[in-house]
Amino acid sequence: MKDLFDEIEEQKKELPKLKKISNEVTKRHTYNFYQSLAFWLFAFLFITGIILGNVFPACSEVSQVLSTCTRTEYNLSLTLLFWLGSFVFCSFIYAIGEIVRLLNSINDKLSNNIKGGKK
Amino acid sequence: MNKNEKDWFDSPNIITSLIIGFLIVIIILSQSFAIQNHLGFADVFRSILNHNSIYLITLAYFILIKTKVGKKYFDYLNIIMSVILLLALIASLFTIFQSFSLASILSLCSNLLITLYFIYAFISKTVIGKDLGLTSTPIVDIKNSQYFYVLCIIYSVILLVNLISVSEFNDVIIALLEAIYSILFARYVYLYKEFIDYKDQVESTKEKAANDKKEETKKTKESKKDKEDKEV
Repeated sequence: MKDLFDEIEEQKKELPKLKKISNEVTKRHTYNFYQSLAFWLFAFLFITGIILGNVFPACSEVSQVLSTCTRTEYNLSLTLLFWLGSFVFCSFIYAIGEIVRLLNSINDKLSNNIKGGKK
Repeated sequence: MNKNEKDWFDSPNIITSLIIGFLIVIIILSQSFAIQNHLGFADVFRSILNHNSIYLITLAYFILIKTKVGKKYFDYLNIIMSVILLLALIASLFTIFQSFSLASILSLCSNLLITLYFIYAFISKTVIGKDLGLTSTPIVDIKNSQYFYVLCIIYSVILLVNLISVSEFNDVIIALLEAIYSILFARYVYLYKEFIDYKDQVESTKEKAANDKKEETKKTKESKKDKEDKEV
């Protein structure tokens, strides 16, 4: 009888090479202002999320007599929610950048067409 | 030993099924205990995210590797899993700043070790692992069994510390279940590494045998040629 790892070994797909991944990522792009802003803002908010989880800790143990927090721990839930929120926000900014880029390219094509027509 | 005569703790199928079972029980029990303690919806939700998010993701991982899609994208799933383990490691590192205690230090140690162990077993021999040069890092110098037994010891000490410090029966049950799950998870990683090492060993023996055969044929050809030359 085949075991789990034998089945996995037969069926699994190999990972792509790191060079291939970096080529795919950097293939296109001259990012416009909004898109680079979205990247840098997300990097900033990512670090802020880690700091926030530490600044506002979660309570992991409550005193039975006084009902006060006796032990705190890193607030992973706050960090994850903050990361999710910042991802949505930055995606929104990136999307605006993409729309601006597409409008610019349409504008360029139209102006080229008009110039060609005049000639 | 024959493959069919494996003990339960040497069978990846049984270990993964047990892990899935334990994870479901831990998640359900910890949530039901949270509701029993009259926590509000927001508190329960926070508790799910804080304590059970890693368990939920791990559960999804183990259920996925039982399916065809999961088996196909096994390496991809391992990369996601190692990111999740890194996240847990960061959380436990910051927990030390929040409340410095033996439990938080042990938790950091166990998280650090299991993350390294996972990367060592699952990522180091993949294409990305080789690209990153993980095969020449110090994490490869430690033996598979050493990782496993050190982790088992740390988990046992954590269980002891938890059993001494908890005040309610509910917490005792959760601590016990978590310790069993952690040891099973380490066993799963151990079995995969053993499997990979065994596969490499078989391949190298095959290669060696093929090379020996080639050399032998070369030698017989040369000796034949020598004989013919002498006869001439």
